[in-house]
Amino acid sequence: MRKSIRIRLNVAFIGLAIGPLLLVGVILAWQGFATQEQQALKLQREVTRRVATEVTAFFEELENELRFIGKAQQWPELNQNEQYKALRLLISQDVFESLTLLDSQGQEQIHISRLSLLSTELRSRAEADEFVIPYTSGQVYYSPIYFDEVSSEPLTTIAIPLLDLRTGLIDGILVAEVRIKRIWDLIASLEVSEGQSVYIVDAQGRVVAHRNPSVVLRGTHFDLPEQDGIQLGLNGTRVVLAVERAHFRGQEFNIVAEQAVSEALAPAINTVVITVSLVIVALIIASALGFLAVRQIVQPVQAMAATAQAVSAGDLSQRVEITSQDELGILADTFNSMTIQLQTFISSLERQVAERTAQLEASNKELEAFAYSVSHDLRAPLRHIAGFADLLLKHSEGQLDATSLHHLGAIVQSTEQMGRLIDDLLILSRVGRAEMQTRRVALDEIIHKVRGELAPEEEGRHITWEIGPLPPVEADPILLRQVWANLLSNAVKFTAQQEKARIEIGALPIDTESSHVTLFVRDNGVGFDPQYTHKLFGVFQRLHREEEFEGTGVGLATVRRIVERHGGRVWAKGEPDHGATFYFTLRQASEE
Amino acid sequence: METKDILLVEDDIRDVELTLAALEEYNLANRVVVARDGAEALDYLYRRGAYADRTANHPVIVLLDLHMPKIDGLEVLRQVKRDPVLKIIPIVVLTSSDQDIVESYDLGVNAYVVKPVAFDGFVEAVKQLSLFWILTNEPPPNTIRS
Repeated sequence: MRKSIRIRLNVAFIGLAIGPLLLVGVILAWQGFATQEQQALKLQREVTRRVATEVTAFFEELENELRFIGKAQQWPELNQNEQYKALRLLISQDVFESLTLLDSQGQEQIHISRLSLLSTELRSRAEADEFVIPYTSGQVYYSPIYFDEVSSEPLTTIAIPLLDLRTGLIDGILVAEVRIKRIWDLIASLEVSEGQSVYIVDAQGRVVAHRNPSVVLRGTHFDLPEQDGIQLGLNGTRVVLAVERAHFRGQEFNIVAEQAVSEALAPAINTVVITVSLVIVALIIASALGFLAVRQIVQPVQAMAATAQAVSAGDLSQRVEITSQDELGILADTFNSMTIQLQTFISSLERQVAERTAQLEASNKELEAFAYSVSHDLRAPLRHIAGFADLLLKHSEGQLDATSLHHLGAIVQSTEQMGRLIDDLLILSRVGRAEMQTRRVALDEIIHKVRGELAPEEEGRHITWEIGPLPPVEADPILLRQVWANLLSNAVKFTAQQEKARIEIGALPIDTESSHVTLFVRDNGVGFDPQYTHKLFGVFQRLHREEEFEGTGVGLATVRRIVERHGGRVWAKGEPDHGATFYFTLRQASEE
Repeated sequence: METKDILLVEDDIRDVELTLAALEEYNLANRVVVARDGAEALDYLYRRGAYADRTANHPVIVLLDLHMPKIDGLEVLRQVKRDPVLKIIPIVVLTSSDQDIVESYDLGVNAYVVKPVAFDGFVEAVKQLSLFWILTNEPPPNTIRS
């Protein structure tokens, strides 16, 4: 298919508009995503840092509270009952699972828990870490986090050495089981963004605090990623995640804040949606503008193309109507002036051709009229010569010798020969001048008539005629009859010396692509030397001596003249003593 | 009295001679009056000029050449065939070509003969003409011999 300028320009225009737009869109979206990721990460870090601070503060406060008891000057003075009361006051805060007071030998003095306030079964913890480590180091001891067998709650044990202020020696150890659950509330009270969650993972990868208690209680495990950023979250979905590692007296808490990518990057996604929408809108506008602009450019070009086609098809009166002053206007002006020149040129050419044709026709007519009147005027003196020679012959009977009689005979014969010559010339000139009236002609009929006319010449001869099927042709019947008369009388004449003469008339197989049919007349007569073929159809051209075959040398010239006037062609093939074939073409009659 | 009832209109003296020779073969030559051009032929027919006191009857036939000085054969033909009295006279055109054959018949010629070159042929043609128009053909009664 032909690609029109309009389509190509439209494509180029839209392409030019879309390319940069798409580039800008992609860059904006990419930047949006990157920025948004950083912002989301920053948000997660802020949260984890805050939580870390709060968790540290929580433990510091706890420790202070516990230490306060130990440092209280009155504590050793208090009796066991008063000590118990103080511990009960502490445990009522719901922060501790249990509180145990050990003496300097590691023997439990008092043991109260949140659920059963006072235990009577006191045992020795002399071997336990919560006694040995603080007792030997004098430092506060934090145990690793462990899960309560009954409640599955995460707990940690804090052991604080109690000093005898007078001796400065460790007098006992206060062991407190701290409920991490208190930190859950802390997390739960945080204000979080959409899709954000905060939880704490211990050194073993166990989730120990989460806004949703069941996550902790069912013992969820989480492998901390190497670094912050977009990672797989607790649910296995992609999240923006940050980890803050908080160490507090050997205790390790990993505070994790994560936010679903879909939520964290929502603003960036919005930006992309807006950008895409803008690109589409811009695209539509660009297409519309492009279409209009292209039409502005292409319309004059198309108008010019249409005019050029009309001019090329022959309508030279067409003009391009473009009045703009730009390159197209110049082109249109040039084209118009070219067309005008062409028109002038063609009309002058046509006038010249018409003049020349008229001159040619006039001189042709003059020539033929001249030939006619010359032929005509030659007949009268010729007739006189013949007449008087004949009269002389009659009146001198018995008075002239044989030689004189022979001479007189020669005069008569010559005049007769010249008479035939003039007759043939008259026919030739008439062939050239006659008005042609072509119509559908059946050849069989014409050939039949011509053969009838030739009958006297056939007398005493043995001639086999073979006439093939002949298609009807488009021709002037009178002129065409002359063609057959000349060709057939030639064929009869030049086979005179054959004992068994054969004359064949036929048509060559019809070429479906040609409108012409080729007809031929073939004889087995004396033929002719092929080197003289070109002379056959000339006026007064003879290939045989008069004594052998009488004739004027005008017949074939007449044949050629007639066939050529019909737009056909004539040619011949022959060999001496092997006959001759004369071909000619005529227009086939159209289907009726 | 000798009847002069064949009018030969011919400008060429040799053609006159040959025509007379041909007619002589049938003993018709002595009946011939020769006019050497169209004007003379019309004068004869209308009894004008040199022929004003012609006593002979109108000819039984006119043998007319076409190409002649002064008034040509076609004009003679036209005038004779337009004349209510003369139009019944048979006119045979004797000429060298068939060029004017259509116009001649349009003007009412009775026969048109192209003179053959060979004298034998010419004699034969004259013989046929004579047999038909002079010796056989009966003119309409009481019209010409007045």
